[in-house]
Amino acid sequence: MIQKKICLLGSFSVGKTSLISRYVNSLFSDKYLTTVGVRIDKKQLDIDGQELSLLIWDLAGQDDFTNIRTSYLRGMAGYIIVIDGTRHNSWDVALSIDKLVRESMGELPMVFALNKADLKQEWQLNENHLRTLAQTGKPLVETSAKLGEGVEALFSALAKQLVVQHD
Amino acid sequence: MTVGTPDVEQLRRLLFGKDYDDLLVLKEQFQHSDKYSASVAGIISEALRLRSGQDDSLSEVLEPTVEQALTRSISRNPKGIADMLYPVMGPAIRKSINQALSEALENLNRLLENSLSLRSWKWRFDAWRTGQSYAQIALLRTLVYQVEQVFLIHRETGLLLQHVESPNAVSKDPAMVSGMLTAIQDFIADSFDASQGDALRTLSLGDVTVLIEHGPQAVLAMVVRGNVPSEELHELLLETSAAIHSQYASALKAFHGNPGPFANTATLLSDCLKSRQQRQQQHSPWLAWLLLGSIASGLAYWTFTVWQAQQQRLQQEAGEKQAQQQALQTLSQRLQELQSHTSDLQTSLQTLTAQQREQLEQHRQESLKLAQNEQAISELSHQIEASTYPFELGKADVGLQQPGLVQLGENIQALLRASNLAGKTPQVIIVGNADDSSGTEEFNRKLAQQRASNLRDALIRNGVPAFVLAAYSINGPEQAATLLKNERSTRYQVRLY
Repeated sequence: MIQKKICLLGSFSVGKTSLISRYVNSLFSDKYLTTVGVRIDKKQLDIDGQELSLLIWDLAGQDDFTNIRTSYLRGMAGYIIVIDGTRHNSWDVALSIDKLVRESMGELPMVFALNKADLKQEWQLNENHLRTLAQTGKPLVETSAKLGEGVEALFSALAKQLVVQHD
Repeated sequence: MTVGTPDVEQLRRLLFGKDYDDLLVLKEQFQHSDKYSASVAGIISEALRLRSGQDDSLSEVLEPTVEQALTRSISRNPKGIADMLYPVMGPAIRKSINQALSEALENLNRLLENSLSLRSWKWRFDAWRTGQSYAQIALLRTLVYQVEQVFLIHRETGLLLQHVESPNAVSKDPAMVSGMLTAIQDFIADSFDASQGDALRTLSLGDVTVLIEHGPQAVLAMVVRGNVPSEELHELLLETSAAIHSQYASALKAFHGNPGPFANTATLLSDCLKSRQQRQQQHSPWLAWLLLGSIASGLAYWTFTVWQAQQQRLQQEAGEKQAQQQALQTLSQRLQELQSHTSDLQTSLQTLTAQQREQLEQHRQESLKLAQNEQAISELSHQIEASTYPFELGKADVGLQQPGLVQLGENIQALLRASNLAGKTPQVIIVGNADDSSGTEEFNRKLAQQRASNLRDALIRNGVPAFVLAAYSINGPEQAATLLKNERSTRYQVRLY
């Protein structure tokens, strides 16, 4: 059993906490997000025979990277940046966060989550946005926290990268 | 020793001078293992002593080798190790047993005190009032402090390396708590612009305090409930942290999420699970002694009761047995008596039978005798009645010695004896008779009377008792019908009364 710390990043109200709530049973309440600015959950999974324990740090939403408590990122093995497809601004913030994380933490396993797939008709993102994301070379997973779609795939995509990196 | 061509060799000697020979000697030492071993043997113990004085790395390096050597030695010859440990293990085991017994007695006493005392009922009331468990209330009231949990956290990632907790502590997922502890420290450090190197050392809420010790690679966090002796416990944390950093330095540096190498740190962390109870007046554990005494008394009473019941049963059985024996003896005696009685009865019966037989015989004899007697009486009676005495005509003289008369007298006496035997009295009636063919009737009557009287007298003189004899003439009132007329003889009639 190996443990890995991962962080969920993204703009305010993109659905980070909802995604985690779909994935794990939380020990701590949401009030930690508004007080301490972070809530930690745990999920154990098996990736190709390797038992993995993910300590998921759900960071309070940020409008830009400057608001992120960087100390919370220390020691993370990977991260997920969540984008709200219905909000163009969240895409900008995601790119900004990714850039700055890479600058400060180096290259780490990561996945982009395009959330609110159940509201695709309201999406403000177009082909160009998606192409830009794809050009980063990072996995992109469409998710719907409301319907529970893509949630397992999102975390599995990151976990596989973590296992490969660990080996 | 030469290396290379002579010219090169010459050049080297010119360049290095005498040092070249020393270098060759050193080279030879390294090339020959025996020489190199001899060289190292001279300094190895000093080198080990020096290094062990510097840090604990030597212990860390030697630990697996020593463990492996010990394992092999024990598996090859366990008796040798056992013999070596025997002087140590015996006293240690005794001490451990004594300590365990003492602790058990103390715990029992505490349990009794907590269960029976007024204080315990107050705690129960508090537990009911506050909705907490009795154990929590008792713990809070009796403990000065208790270290409930100790976390060993990787400083960089906030991941949990090891976690221990006291038996009665309630803990949530330690991996998540470890992360939150790290996050909170970061939150405080960020929020209040703490200077570099400063770290959160204490968190406190109510009666729970979290003491934190930051090491270079790992953080130790101790959750304490009660009144915390901060300095004392911080010092303990510091020592433990130092020990872990010393023993697991390489593992800490190489940590990438696998907490396996830190499994053995549980021993070190468990040493931090301290607790202190309220100092109570030292007193003899009288409740425990009382309970044990009560149990012992109960057991003794029960044993005595059982023994008493057993004795009673045995006595009862013995009494019954004795009564049975007595009854048996009585029966035996009665049987013997019965047998004796039976024997006596049989004897009596035999005697009676014999007597009866004898009596029967006697009776038969008597009957026979009586019959004979009766026959004799009858014969004698006939003979007597058939007897006659021939009187001369007109005379009444009786000759005493007349054979017929003598015979008659003897017969009458014999009849008397026989009649006596038969219980009867005979009477012989002598009937005088006279021939009425001549003489007068009166004369004949007197002659007949005379003749009867003379015969009677003659018979009396011959010895016949008088009462037997009665004399009458034929003309008398008792004249026999059978007598014939014109007969001079006298007739006799025999009667028995």
